Amino acid sequence: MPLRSLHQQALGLIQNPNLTPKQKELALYQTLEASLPTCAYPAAVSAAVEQGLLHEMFESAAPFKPRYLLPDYQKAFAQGSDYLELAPPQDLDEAIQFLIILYQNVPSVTTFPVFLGHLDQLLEPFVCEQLSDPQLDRKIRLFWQMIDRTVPDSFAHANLGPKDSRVGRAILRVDAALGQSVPNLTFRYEAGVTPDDLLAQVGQNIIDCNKPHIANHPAIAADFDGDYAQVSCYNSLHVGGGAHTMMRLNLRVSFARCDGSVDDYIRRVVPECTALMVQAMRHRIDFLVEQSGFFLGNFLATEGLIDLNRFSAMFGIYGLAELVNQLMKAGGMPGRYGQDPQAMELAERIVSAYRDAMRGHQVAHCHNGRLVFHSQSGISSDTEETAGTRIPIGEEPDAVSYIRYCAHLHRYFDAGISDIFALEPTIRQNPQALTRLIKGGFALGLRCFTANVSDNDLVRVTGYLVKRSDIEKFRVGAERHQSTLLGAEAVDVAGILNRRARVISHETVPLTTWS
Amino acid sequence: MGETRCTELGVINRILPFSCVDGPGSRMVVFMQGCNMDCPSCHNPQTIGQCNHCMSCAPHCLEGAIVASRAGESVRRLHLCAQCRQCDRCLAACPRGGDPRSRQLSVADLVTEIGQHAMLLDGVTFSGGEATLQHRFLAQVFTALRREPNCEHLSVLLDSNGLLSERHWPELLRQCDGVMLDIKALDNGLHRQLTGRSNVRVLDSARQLAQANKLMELRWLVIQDVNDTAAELEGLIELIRGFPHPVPLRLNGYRHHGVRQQGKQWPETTEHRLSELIAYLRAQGIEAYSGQL
Repeated sequence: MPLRSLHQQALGLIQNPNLTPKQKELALYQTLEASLPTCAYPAAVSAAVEQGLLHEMFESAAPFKPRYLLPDYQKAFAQGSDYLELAPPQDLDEAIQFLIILYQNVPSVTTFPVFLGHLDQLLEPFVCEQLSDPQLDRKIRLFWQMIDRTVPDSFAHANLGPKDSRVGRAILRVDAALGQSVPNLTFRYEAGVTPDDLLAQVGQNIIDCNKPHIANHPAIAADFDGDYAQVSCYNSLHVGGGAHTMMRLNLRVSFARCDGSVDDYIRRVVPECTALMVQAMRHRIDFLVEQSGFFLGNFLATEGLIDLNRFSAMFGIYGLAELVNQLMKAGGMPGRYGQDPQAMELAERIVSAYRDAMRGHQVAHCHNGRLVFHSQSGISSDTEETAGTRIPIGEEPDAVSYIRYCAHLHRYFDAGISDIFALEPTIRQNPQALTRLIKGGFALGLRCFTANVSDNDLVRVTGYLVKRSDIEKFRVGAERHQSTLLGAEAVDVAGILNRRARVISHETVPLTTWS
Repeated sequence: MGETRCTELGVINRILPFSCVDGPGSRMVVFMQGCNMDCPSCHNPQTIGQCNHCMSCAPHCLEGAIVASRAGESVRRLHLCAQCRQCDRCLAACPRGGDPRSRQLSVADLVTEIGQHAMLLDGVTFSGGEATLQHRFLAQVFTALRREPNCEHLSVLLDSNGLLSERHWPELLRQCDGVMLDIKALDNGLHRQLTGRSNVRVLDSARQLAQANKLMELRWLVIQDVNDTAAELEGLIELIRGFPHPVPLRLNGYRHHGVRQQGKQWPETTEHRLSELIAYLRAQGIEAYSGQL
């Protein structure tokens, strides 16, 4: 990029009245990053990026921090931090303050932490019997406000469950009462461990404010060595680790590489596209680990709060629906994705072929030498592809049919997958229906359950949430949440408020969004 | 439209896999085809009649989804689901208030279909049309559901207009968890005007179901200035007070959505009127609530 146009772009950002100074700082550094030379890919990979087959998620060619980073907060509590000059916390106030300080020092692609900890497990040991529920609620309320005001980004994700706890219940009470878009929240559910009345409370919270997500804890835990967490937008990653980078493969575009037959697609195109993805992803992984110096100098690494061996990188796919529909049509079959069992069998064949092909590649600096597989939940510039493995907008069936069609695809995505089930406000009079969908869905193999009640102020964009009221504020001036900016674009570009369950995400913003 | 019909096959208008407004929990709703009332206020008038394979609808289908299947002299209407875009053009063309998309299912087929969804359901609600017109089919379905291991947890509810004769209820109730009964009017003349039928049987059914402790709920479609007079209210309160147990009363405000031209003679019911009625009924000790939000 010529220096002159870089300067013009910078000046445009500086003068943008809808951005706060903090947001301008972020936009300015991202502009500079984007002007760096692109990755020195082999010609075939460059061409695939050019064609839109591979999508780089707006990541710089020279990343200086992992895309997603999940510190081991438990370990930090046990050992304190020399770097932050903090001793191990001794009581609840100290523990909360310890976390708040740590959050300011945890980087990610958004510049804010994407993982805030298994908060119930972290804080419960500090809750003594003398502390009454109202006293506990007050402390959690202050903590929650502190998070929202100092980590203003709804990719910042806290986890609860599966066990019952006073802290977990207090967080659910406070979260529903405050209705903040931050933090994002996942409850990890396990039948037989999570009491029914706690699950009912979780369901009630969804009805009140579309939060939390519910994770199928045993199903996800089975794919991990040690603890995992749900972070950012439906990403399941190792605690004490994370993901160096994510790229995604546009399955709709990949159809053009086959002769129209399923056999050719599976036999030839799947390995070809997988190899292109792996080659491309190695560039950023290698740069981050070998050249950026992050893992050598950062205190999270030197104090052992993250371990390079617990990192991987995310191989994302999207546009499965479009690929399946193209293959069905080319084969003279009438069924469509999300409506027809034959189409869904084909979908599973494709997903399984990619997962296996991906696992056939050894990738340096990744846990067990392997990438992890992710159904990527979309970005706003996707006009022709449906997010991840979801059913296209406007064709989504009722929640029961949706779960029946899609639950079996979830098992393939160790790094996370999401479907959003749209519910009518009438669910408020019948929360039992929601509980049934959750339990039944998990029994059928869902890894994650996310529901949107259509008239709540908090609106789910992909996995993150924005408030309708904040979007209106953004239109008349700057709004303090980083994610509202993205949500406003989602409303304008993708019309999320007019549709049932729109599916976009941008954890890194395309630069055009800023201007 | 008599009460005797084939016991092996049921005629089903459509199956809604998920509803949270047709009883407690997550429910499948099976809409049965055919009704023995003819209410101008009906929101699903295409469920009233039965297809007689006259094929009048076929030329109106732009997708070619309705085709004739000929076997010798007889012609059967076939509906091709994959082609259908649910545009509803065929409905206006049916001289009998039928629906070419309705289909015949055996007991085993229906139970299989329910079983495939069972893990995500708390129960099944049979509605219509008037489901009890096919009471023999239903009784067999209820029995089969109880025997199906993956369907054991499902509760079975019935929506009814109450015209089923006294002697047929016990067989149905044996395996049904409850009935939601529509009350159209307490005055018999008004009832005839609204439905084309007398309400004597309906009111008797209400009492019979309440006695059997199977009356889950009464449903009252309030048509403002038509069936919400003081006399109607008094009659309704008296009916409910006569039950051995309290029975909730769900009020639905009349809307023009889906009704035939004939039904548009009456006004839509305002939210204000609905709230007023609910407040009055509650003051009289009736457990009244709005079916709308």
